[in-house]
Amino acid sequence: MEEWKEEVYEVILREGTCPVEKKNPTFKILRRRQVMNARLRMLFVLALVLATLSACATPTPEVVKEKETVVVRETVEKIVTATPPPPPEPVKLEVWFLSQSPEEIKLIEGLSAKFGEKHPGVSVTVSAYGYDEMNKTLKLALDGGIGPDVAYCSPGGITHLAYAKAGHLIELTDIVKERGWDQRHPMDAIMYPQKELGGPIWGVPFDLTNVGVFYNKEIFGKLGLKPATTWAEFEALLSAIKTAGYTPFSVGALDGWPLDHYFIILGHVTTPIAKIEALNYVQPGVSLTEDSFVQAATILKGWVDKGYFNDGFLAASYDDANNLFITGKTAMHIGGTWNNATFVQQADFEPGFFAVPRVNPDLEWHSLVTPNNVWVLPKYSKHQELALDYVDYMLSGEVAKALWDSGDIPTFSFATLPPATSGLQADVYRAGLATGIGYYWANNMPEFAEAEVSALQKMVGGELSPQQALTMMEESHAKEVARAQQ
Amino acid sequence: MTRGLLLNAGGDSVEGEQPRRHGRVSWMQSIPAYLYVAPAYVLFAAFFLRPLVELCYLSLTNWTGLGPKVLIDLDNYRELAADPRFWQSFQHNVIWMLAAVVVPTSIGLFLAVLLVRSSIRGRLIYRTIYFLPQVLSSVVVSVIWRWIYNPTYGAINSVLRAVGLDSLAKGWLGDSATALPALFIAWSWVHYGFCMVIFVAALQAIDETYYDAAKVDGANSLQQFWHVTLPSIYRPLTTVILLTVISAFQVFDLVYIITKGGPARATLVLSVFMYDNAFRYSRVGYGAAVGVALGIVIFLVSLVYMRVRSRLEAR
Repeated sequence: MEEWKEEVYEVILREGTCPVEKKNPTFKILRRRQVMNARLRMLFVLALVLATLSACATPTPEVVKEKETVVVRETVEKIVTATPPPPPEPVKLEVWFLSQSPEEIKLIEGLSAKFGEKHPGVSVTVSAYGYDEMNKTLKLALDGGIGPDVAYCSPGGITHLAYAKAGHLIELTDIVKERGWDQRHPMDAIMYPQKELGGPIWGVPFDLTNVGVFYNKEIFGKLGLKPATTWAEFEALLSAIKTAGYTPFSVGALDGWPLDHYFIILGHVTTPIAKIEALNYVQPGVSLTEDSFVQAATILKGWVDKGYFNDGFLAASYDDANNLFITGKTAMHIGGTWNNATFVQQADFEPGFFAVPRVNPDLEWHSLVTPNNVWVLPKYSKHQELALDYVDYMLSGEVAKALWDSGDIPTFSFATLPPATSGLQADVYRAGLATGIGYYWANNMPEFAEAEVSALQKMVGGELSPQQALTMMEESHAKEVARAQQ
Repeated sequence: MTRGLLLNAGGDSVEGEQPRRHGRVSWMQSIPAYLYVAPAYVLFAAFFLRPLVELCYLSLTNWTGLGPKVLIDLDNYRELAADPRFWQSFQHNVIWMLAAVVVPTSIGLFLAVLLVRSSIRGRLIYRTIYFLPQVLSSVVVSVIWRWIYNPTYGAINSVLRAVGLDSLAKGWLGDSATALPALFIAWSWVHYGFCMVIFVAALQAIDETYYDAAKVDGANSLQQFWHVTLPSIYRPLTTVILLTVISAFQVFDLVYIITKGGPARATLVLSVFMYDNAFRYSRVGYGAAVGVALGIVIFLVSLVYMRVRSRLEAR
């Protein structure tokens, strides 16, 4: 309000005139303010008088002591009756888990909840990712200096070892010994994923996978067939199944990698393991055009030509192929043991498993038995000790037993092997013992992996001969080797 | 005269007066104007210019997505020029673009004419149904079409077998010859709805008197379409074609979800090739180079197209 108006109003108020102006809201406010000011002035004078009087009165020593006693009593009472300190903030542990299997994800969620129960105030969030998603998301997160507290990711030169090289992971070499993980799990299994960096441990696996032949025991029973132990028996088996009117294999070649598994497994039974190791570690001295790989590709092409695969297999997905097997539409399926739980729970028959026999009996028998993915600890975790406790729990006997009960094969060294939960699990375990370890040889060369899949799709689609397909693969492989040598 | 009237309508001048020419405005006077547009410019710079500059920078490095970014001059572009996968992807995009100009645009236009010019009942319902694929998530669309093309239980093969055409049933997505057309059909199923909606709006704006005049002159439906409808929707039509062309070069989700560029690279397109390099092969620098190349291609195609359109309009 303008000053002159305020002055006018104050004059009117003082003199109590101008009743018309009293209806004005500004006037009312000023009137209220004037009354309040008078009251405040009175209160102030009263307080001043009281203060003067109390200052004039000198307290006796008894009074002082009594006052002190009261103050001490009140303080003690305050401390005793004070509300307890608030509980610590709940800790959320974030775990990224690589899996596409609903059964496996559910199992890990359940185990994580148990870990939370053992650690009051801790809750664990499990986020599941597929292979490509995990590789992409984890890399972006780590590069941005963030990420989960714990990750269960794919091992290898472009994944966990690349994160380690870039300084995003906590080294576990000493922790493995301190926590006694090497006492619970074979060092060979722990060291397998670290080989490329020659020693330091950056990720620890807790189970094994095997790629081999799942078979329908019902169809085998009807036809009087048994799992093959030699290559000749295997060929006879395939022929007998086809002759009896069944489709021997299901494969989802549209997704690429399931077809690649057929080729890789055949490569393991035709090629010396030293060559496969060189391929896996992107070393020179091995070529895809070598005879053993030609033999593997030729066998695969031969199976296609003989009609051993499901109709339209090039347009079928991984899930389609699994469905064909569990619904009994194909007698066999070459795939990984991560499917164990799904096959046992969903198949209308009892599934069995055997390793693909060696083509050349002079070769050491190797199959795609490998430690699975690895637990890694990003260094950006705010709860590093708790994250370590979590991995420790995941490597415990309790978790190993739970994995075993789910049909999985843990790397844990059981004092006494628990009874198999299914015939399939027993078969997988036996097959794993019979063969040496193998390699997903394209894992460290993703561009080559794409070329390999494309070449195989062209070969089984009839566009390329096995030799041409292998030449196409080798071109890409040679580039990867040259790049690795730089 | 007309010019003066028009200006008068805009409030700048009166009839007969020369329009007032804006003198030089001092920078002090321009400050409020700059402040008004600043938020938009800041957002544009933060979310478009900076990523664009960063993309160009990354395309000159060999960055894997982790660790240091080492500059390697134009090596990525040299490799790109000699990479058969790049040219194969480019070829697929060009085929896709050419087909896109014809198929979804024609279907959209046909349905729009049908819905606007005919007297069928429930036009709104039809319009909603036809537009439905456009609002579906691309994941849903991909799952639907993957099911339709499934070699064992897919709708197409089931129908073919049901009518005794078993020999025609095949793995549509697994055959290099049919995979790209199969994906294109799925994409067109989504995209024609967009074309249709634009055309419906354009057709509704055409003055009915043009058609009346054409009818008086004895024009049949086809002649009306050719001489009235098409010229009247020339600008929306060319805009739709331009947007379709751009969208044909940007196609990613459908291809990635259904075939991932396979089988045997038969459906590999530039955006999938870029993604694969950047995120699956850990070659972010090379992927960025593909991205820059894709951006340049889209820019050039759009530029040429717009130039041609301007020239045609000027005639």
